Amino acid sequence: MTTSPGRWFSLKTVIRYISILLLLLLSCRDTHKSISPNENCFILGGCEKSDYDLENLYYRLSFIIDGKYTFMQSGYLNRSLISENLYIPVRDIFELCGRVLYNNSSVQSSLTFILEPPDSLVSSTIVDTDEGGNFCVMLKKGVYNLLISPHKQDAIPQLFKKIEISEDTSDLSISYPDEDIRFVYGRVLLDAKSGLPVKGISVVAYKEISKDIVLKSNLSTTNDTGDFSLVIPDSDSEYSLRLSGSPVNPDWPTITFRDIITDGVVQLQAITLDSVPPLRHIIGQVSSGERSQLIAIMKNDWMSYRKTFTTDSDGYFETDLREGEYDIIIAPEDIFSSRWGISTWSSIKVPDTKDYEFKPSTKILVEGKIINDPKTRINLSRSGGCRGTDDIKLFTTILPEEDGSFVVKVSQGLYRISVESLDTQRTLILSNQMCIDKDTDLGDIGIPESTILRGRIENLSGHLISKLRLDILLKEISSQDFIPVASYEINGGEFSVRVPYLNHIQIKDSHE
Amino acid sequence: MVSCRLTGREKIKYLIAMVALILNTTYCVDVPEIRVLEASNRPPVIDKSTVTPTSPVVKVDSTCKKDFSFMGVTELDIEDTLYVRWYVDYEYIKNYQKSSVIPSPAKKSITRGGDKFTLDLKNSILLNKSRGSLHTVEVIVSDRPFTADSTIPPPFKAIEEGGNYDYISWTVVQLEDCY
Repeated sequence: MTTSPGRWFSLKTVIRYISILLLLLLSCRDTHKSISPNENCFILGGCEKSDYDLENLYYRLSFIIDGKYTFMQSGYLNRSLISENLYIPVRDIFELCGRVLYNNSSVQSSLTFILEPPDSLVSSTIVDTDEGGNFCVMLKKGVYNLLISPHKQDAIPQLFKKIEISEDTSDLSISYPDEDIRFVYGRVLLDAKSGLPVKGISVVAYKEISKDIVLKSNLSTTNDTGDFSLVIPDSDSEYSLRLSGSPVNPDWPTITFRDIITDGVVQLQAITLDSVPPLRHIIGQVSSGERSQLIAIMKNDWMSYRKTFTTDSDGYFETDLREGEYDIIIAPEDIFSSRWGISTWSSIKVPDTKDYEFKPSTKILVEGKIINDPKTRINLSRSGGCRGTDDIKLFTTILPEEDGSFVVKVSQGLYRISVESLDTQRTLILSNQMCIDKDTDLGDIGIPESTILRGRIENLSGHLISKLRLDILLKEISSQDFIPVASYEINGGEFSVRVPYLNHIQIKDSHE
Repeated sequence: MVSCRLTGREKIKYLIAMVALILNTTYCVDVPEIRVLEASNRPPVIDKSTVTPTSPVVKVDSTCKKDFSFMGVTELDIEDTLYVRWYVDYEYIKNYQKSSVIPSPAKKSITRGGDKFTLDLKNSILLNKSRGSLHTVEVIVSDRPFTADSTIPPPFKAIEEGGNYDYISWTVVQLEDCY
């Protein structure tokens, strides 16, 4: 018979073991990357090293004026001011009309007005002329870079102008200059020895005015004798020349000659293409055994060549590629449902002694659990491969299970993950861009409470404004891009919207 | 034994039929055909007033990027999950560039939020990205999942049996090269 003390001892031991087990479980929970909703942490995976400017909340107000012009204005407010009313006046907007003329003839074209200094929250204003070159536009007071792109781009060059819009501006008519214009002629030959002309090569002269503005001549395509002619609306700057294939003659690389057109050049020397490698026929297989897309990229100092082709449904392919060394990107055609992911190879030689065979990698698992919100959706935005191996952008949205858990299979790559709440009391949680190249458990994700941003829109423009939309954005520090976190349709006058509550976030040194 | 108990809907049908019969026979009134809708699947309807860009023809400048969105959908079957796919130049690449879902609303409502998509021409695998090129952006919203078998025509657009859908499309004109 078992004695009483013995049984007592064993019970104590059991309690001890249970305590130890509980402690172990708790310590495991601490090491697990998770966010408690009490922390009110906005950035997924912890608040440390946030790649977002958490000091400021950015906004963009877009609306339609007089039922026809789309308009945007932007601003930001410091997080300490979110509790105060935001005042957005709409004023200093002018409706202006004009005409575009080239050699005293009207030019049908598209005009792009880019605010100076550029505001990346607000897209540029693009307006089309009618066939008679007439246009009307609505612009806010300020200085603009204006780029005119004629629809007849084979004959008429682009034109760049800086203009200022104020209450004194009454007409926006623009004429191409009569004198400050250059005509440049040239010829493209296959090689110096044969002197054979190449038909169907597109030639354009261009000058980079800023990061976003490139001014181009007309786009001339070489004729039977290999000749091209360019019109440049500028007589004293240096221009680069770019040659590429055209629908008449595809499969040519893009070749750039930097700053070869100077103010004295009228006739360019014959351009020979003998350094362009010849085409080779290749065959091969992608072992996934399903239809895939292949992108072959060859780049060097003086040319770039990129070709996209597809396999048949069994994975076999054949195509022509120019001799050289390639980076190959392979993506399944059924890119979201396939078990195969986006895969890349570098230094693939063309031609090779054997047929090509590519074995793509399978997708990887991303999982996690939403712990405090029963109605959410999870957005995964892929901007490209980790370490820039490919530039395929993909967006996918999934719903979690009823218990909040989610599992999704994705291609390796650089992802931004956001969890959107459908609860009107919350906004969303947003991750930094992260490289996902192996199975990843995001752990428990808590969606923080939001706060209310109140404000007032006052229309002082004298125009009717409608269809107002207020977008709330965060600025990513590394890229300086704006990432939307909320979007609301609002009525004019006073508004009240939910925005992330940044004040609870401990901002640490986010950029080392 | 067959039960003669009528359900609520059957009672309404019966009542309407009786009223119609009485009206027709007693007062000789022409009664329009009355059709009681059976509980069928109602299609999702994209709220066109929330669609941006508002114009069906869109210009893209040197940024080579353009946002497309619809911010509201009406779905009378409130428990239905909606499935969204965004296509770019479907005729060239029979594929879609964004796959999305819109869950049933947290609070019972026939309207729910929409979806958005950014066309980024510089980083897309489209064949022709030169100045003047035309592209088609199309979004389909379905109340049944898209079929998993991508060989069923139209590839990547086929919807499971019984599903209904709505769609919008835009033509995109490139003002600049986007290589």
